[in-house]
Amino acid sequence: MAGISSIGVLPEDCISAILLLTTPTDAGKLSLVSSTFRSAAESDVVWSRFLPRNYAEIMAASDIAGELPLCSKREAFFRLCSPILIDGGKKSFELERFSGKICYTLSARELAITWSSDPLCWSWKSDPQSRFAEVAELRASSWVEIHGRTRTGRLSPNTLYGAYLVVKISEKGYGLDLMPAQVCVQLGDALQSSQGSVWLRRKEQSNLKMESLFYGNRRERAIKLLASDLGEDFDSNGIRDLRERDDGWSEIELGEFFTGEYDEHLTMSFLETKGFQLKSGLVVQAIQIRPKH
Amino acid sequence: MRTFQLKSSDNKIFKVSEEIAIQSAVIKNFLEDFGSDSDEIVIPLPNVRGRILEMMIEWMVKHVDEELTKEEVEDWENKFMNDLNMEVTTELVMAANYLEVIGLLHRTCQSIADHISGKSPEEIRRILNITSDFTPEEEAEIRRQNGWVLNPSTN
Repeated sequence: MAGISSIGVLPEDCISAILLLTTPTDAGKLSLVSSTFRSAAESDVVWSRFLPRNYAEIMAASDIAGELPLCSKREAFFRLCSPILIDGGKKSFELERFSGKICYTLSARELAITWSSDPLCWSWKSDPQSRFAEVAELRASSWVEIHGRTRTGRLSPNTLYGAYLVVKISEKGYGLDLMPAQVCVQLGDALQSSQGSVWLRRKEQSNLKMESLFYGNRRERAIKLLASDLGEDFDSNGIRDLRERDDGWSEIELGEFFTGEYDEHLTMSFLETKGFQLKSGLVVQAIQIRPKH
Repeated sequence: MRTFQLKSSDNKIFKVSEEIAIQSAVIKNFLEDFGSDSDEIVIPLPNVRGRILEMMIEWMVKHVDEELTKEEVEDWENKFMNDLNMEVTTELVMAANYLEVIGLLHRTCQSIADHISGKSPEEIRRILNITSDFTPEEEAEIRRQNGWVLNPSTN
């Protein structure tokens, strides 16, 4: 062994010990290195590290519980990279393929939406572009308040996450973009919290001129009002916009947080309660919690 | 405090105290099974050459030193790891695996993992000095199975 050693002679259990410190992406690349690496990179030892500890329970209580059992941990991993519905179809769970981190989605029915049981304010309907049975559409209300609550123990530990409200703005929507909405994410006893403001606007602003005829300089006044309300924390340039997704929906970032080692309460909020104008046309599908890169 | 002698594959002898040696689960078991009060016990380690055994003992000595704080041990570990090339790191992985020195095994595996994470299969082969033993057909098949990481843009 006079200095001419090569990692090629490492036994498979050592290679597994190295691979389980990498990521699913790395394991995929490493399977192409050599046959010993491939064997380690496809082993249950390695993939069980990329799977959440309680993955079997999660699958057993999901909409795929009736599917044929999977032969390997690797197969189980890839099955979970497509969303599965859990908790009676009101939440969904999936793994991010590249990192193996948990993504977790609370459907509108799992959210606390103020006045959502009043059919004059909100209506519940199905939407072919939603993975959930029902979405909530704002019919008319001046008060829009949405909270999602869960625990960080359901997510991957030591990970920076973002929480996103997944919405559409229907053609007949009105009153949504006159006042920036307040968004916020709070963790545990609120020591860690992130706050911000967001405009509920669609990209195409062709009707902007028409609108200003109706509303005058109300939007500018709204920003001033908000600024005086929030004081120094307010930054009108920092108001976020909606981001279009490739599934026909748009999303609003509610905030970010870091999951540590502990299981903590997590509250994600969206509020537009300062403008007092009547609003309509916001369609809420879910709050999605996913790793932020 | 008992002391023992560890003998490397190239017949180098290292004297170590029991406290240091039992960080290796394998040596610990050996001493429990064949222990005597004699200082004359020589434990042959035919899978580890002298240079590597010396480094392992250096590691184990630092990890029983009660005068060092946790931070000092960490600093020392970082320096120890920084001075290693890939070849020696690999040998230490094998030796730590063979003798079950868990702390060293974890640290050396982490070092290799950090070096290969995010690299392409070709780069990884170069870093680790490995030649592929796949036939072109096998390689094509594995490429197909792992297309999601190898060609993310085509996904």
